[in-house]
Amino acid sequence: MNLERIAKVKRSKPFTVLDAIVAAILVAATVAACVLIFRKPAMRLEISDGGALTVIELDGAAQVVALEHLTVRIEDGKVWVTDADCPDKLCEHAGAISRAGQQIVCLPNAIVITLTGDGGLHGVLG
Amino acid sequence: MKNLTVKSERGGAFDTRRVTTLALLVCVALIAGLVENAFPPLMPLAPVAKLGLGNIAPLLALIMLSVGDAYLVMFVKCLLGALASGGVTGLMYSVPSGVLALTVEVLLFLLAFDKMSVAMISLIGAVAFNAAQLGVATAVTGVSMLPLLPLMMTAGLLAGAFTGLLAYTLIKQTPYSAFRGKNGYK
Repeated sequence: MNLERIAKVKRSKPFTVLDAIVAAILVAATVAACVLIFRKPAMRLEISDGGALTVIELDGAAQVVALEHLTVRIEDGKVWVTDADCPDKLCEHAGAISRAGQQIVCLPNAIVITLTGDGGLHGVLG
Repeated sequence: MKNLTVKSERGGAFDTRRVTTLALLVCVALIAGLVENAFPPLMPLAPVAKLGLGNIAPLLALIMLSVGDAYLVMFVKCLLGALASGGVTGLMYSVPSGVLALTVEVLLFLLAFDKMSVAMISLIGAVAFNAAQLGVATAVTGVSMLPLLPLMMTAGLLAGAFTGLLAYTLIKQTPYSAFRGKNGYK
């Protein structure tokens, strides 16, 4: 046992001045990132399925895109996943996305569904 | 001379207190991970984001034992966790993220501790962990995961602060006698 270190931790305070400064910087960075990424409305949908990229223009019409491992549904500007064949179904639990920059990711099948705004994702991010 | 004798008997790589503490920490991490997975995702938009209670174990190992033991706990936790959940692909995400997060925590602990609290060190570690995970996901899928970063950062801020405070409270509230042992062994 490293009693010296344990004693040092026992003597320390739960929060410090430096904490407040670093926390403020991190929160500011997070807020800035949110504003930069989520401010534009979604214009199109990009589905990356193991390297193959499908781009769908969002024109207001309801669409159903059936992929091998899951189904992507588009309605009223909202996009969500149904019928995923993976065991955890995290992509289904992700619910609907509607703004540029939002993503639904299916890690087991390496499928990434991204909403992009004007000029695409990379335009938004610079 | 007396100290040397004690060390050869009670110290060394297979010191009983060290081995049992390591086993206990890994065990706690694995159980925390399993219990966590039984609950629905905390944030519906980022279902991958978890509380990461298991990350408390390497941090406790760092405080109670040594830097090397912290890495040991982290690696064993990743390996056994992957086997327990049946997803060995998870190692691809957990090991690089774990190494980065722990390295950040170790450096902060050795260089800035006291000026910076345990909770804050854990918080920064958690943010680093999530950032690394997005990096790996970007490399694996070939699609930029940058849009998820704000969400993952927020998740890291909250989860890291929580687990850090928990680790701090555990160390603070556990009496010295529990660390030292009944007969005062180190």
